[in-house]
Amino acid sequence: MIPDRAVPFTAALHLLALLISFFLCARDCTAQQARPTESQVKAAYIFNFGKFVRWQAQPQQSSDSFDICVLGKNPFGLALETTVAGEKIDGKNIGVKNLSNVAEAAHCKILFISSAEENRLKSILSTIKQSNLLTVSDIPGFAERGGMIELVTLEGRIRFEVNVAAVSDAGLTVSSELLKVALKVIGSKQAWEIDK
Amino acid sequence: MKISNRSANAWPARLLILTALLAVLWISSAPAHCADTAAEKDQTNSLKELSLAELGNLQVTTATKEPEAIWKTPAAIYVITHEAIIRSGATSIPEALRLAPGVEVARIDNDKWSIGIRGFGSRLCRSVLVLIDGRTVYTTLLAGTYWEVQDTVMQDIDRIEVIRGPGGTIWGPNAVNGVINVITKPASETQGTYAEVLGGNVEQGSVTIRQGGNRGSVDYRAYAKGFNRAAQFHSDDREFDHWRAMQGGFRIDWAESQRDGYTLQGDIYDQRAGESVVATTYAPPYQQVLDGNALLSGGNILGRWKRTTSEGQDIQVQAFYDRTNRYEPNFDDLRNTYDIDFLQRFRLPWRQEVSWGLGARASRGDNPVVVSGLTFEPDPRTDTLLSGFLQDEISVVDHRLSLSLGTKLLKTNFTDLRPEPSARLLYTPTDKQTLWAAATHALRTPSDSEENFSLAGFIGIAPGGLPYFARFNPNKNFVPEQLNGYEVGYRGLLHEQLYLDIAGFFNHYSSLFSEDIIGAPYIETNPAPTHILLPAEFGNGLMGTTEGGEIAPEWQVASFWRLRASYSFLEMHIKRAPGSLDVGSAPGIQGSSPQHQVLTQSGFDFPKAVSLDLLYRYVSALPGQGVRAYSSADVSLAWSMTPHFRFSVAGQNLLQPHHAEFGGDPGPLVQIKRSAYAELTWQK
Repeated sequence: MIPDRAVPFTAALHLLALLISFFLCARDCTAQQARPTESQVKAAYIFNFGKFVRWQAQPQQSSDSFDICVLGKNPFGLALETTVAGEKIDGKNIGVKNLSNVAEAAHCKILFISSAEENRLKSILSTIKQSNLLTVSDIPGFAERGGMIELVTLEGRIRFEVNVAAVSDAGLTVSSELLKVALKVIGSKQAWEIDK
Repeated sequence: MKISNRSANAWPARLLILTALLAVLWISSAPAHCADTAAEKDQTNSLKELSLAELGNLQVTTATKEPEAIWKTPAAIYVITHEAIIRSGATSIPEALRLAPGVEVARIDNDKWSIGIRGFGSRLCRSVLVLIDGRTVYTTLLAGTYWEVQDTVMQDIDRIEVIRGPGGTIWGPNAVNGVINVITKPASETQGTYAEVLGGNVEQGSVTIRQGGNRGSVDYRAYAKGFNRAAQFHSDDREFDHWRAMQGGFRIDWAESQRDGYTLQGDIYDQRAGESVVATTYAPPYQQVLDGNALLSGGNILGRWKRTTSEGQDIQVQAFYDRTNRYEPNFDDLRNTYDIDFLQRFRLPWRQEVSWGLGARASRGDNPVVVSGLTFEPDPRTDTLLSGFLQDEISVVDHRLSLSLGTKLLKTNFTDLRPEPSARLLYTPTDKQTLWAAATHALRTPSDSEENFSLAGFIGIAPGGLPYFARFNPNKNFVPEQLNGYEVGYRGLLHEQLYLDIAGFFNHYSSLFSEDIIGAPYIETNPAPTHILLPAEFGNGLMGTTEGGEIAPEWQVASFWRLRASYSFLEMHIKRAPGSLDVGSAPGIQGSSPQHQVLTQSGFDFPKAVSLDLLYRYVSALPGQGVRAYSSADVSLAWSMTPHFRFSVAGQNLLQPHHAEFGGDPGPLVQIKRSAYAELTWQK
């Protein structure tokens, strides 16, 4: 009375085996290797942001390098250094600095705030409120909470949101190119810089 | 004999196939080293040449982390993380569920568990909705989840979200006491080869292999696993619960563009799960205990399309097919289930986030009669479910106070259109604290077991020589079990390293499942032979309340040491409703869920990539099951010898040679053994 299930089920297993071997044959090693890590892409973003933001001319600041600073635990490993090595922005060499205290941020052009600093975010942002620097972070809700550019991981991709109000408050201008590809733009539209 | 026929299946042949499959996987994984690590630096250099738009299009490998949404969920949600599962040494989904507060996991025997959330623990976990990657595994046959066939590669589980309390609005029917949502990693996070072998006294041998890869924007993985688990402790030596299983599956994720993502995944499995059942027949021998194998096999395939237009705005369509074959010594179920769901989220002015969805399911089951005392009528039958939901989350005070209002509407072949409304309030006074409250109405829908099921039990030989049976007859008037639930909760980061989660609840139940005697005994000639019958049915004759709470602190003592604990308290008051014909089942229900549960865990990382995890749990007595209070402890020691090899040893239930956790099998309580296993994993 019991149907003989062994046959169809074995067939199903064979199918699975076939399916698996199809995948294995289709495997493309180079493609697999090409997948970058989160840190690498975030580092590339930070470097790229530097090209789309205009800082106020600050004659008193004689720093001869363009400093990208990381506040708190550096999540990038060596990815950020590797990305900016040998690169220039506004004719200046790019340097990467690790900061443990926000008070050291005065000379920075870009300040990446590590997610480890989330609890202190409010005081960090108020400390640098008047500084002419671009804040970037991957702390959830960073842009909503007064940061400038928030890196967001969405469906395995890194995107970003921009708080233009915070950007203009700090005396920075961002290119419309950057706003165009942003996942979300927060703040008043008047602050958008029409460049070129 | 029928039973021996069924057991004498072609098991060795299948094992052979599995071995061959594993061998194929193993061999073909060998060229995986073609990847050149030196390329990494070039890659970083080429990335910066990309435009911002191109960067946004790249698929990246991400480190798993707890979804931040949990923090702002106005429900008692607990996430069992991938890391927690692996570190605990759990080898099955039910065992991993022990890590969540408020969840009662009691192992009945080797391949059966009783699971409940905030009470009502039972073999099929009747009032909890269980989903695996969005696929509901709740069966409308006997109402509940067959835990033994819910399996996957533990290493591929991203997290298990456990919602205690009614999740009726969004999650669908039968989420009365909770929702268990098993979520596996996307294929992009399971690249390369993973292989695992383990063996011990209960876990007698288990092999798992998974291979992942990608081609352009398509990521995929395939896996195969098999295990052999020895019987637990039986004081009468009837070691019927030997359990062997194998399973395979795949997942393909295609990120077509930034907006559109597609997933196709599926599994197939085949098991011999040893069990002991009572078989009742109207003809002699009337009643016998059959020890045999449940032959469990099946498979599923699921496709999903998701379009994300912007943050908080997306559309998702998902469809799945599931095939279930259960051949048990006293009953069969052959079932095809088809399901399609649509879901959309969008934003409206005044900071409103709206989500709505529609779903349809049809499940066609065939239950050929195996013993005359257990039948379904009509046979075969199709069960249907139509559902819809609408929820609006309104941000009353930006980032501080939000209100969610919503309702689910559902209609099944057993019920008319029914609403399941809920209101939830979320207050975040600071960035480190969350307070929430909820009121929910939820339903457990009727199933075939109440409406189309005849279940007879043999009482004895009556004076006069006629056999005397009691039988639960189909009750076409069974109505949904109902809950009005009220909950409050607090989550807080009290200190940088100290997290606290507290939740309290009061649930009011009505129309609860009861076992009713509906008349005096009479002589029945059909089905033959002539016998005396005491007529009964499953009714809605119980009501009651449950109250309790859970407190779950988590303390990161140092970067290398984490402590977790939870205490769950439950008070159940179940009684007969006015006019109820219930036979007296309330004390048994009340006495089958523990009043107190304590769990403490310590996770310690030593230098040299050695980690030590200790777990202690206490479960108070279950008088309804004849189970005494017990304490138990697990230890797991792991050493990542190289980036590729990890060796671990785990000991489970160490405090006594064996202990009982739950009843259910005929004969004396099956006791869960002290066990240990060693495991070697390889990953590249």
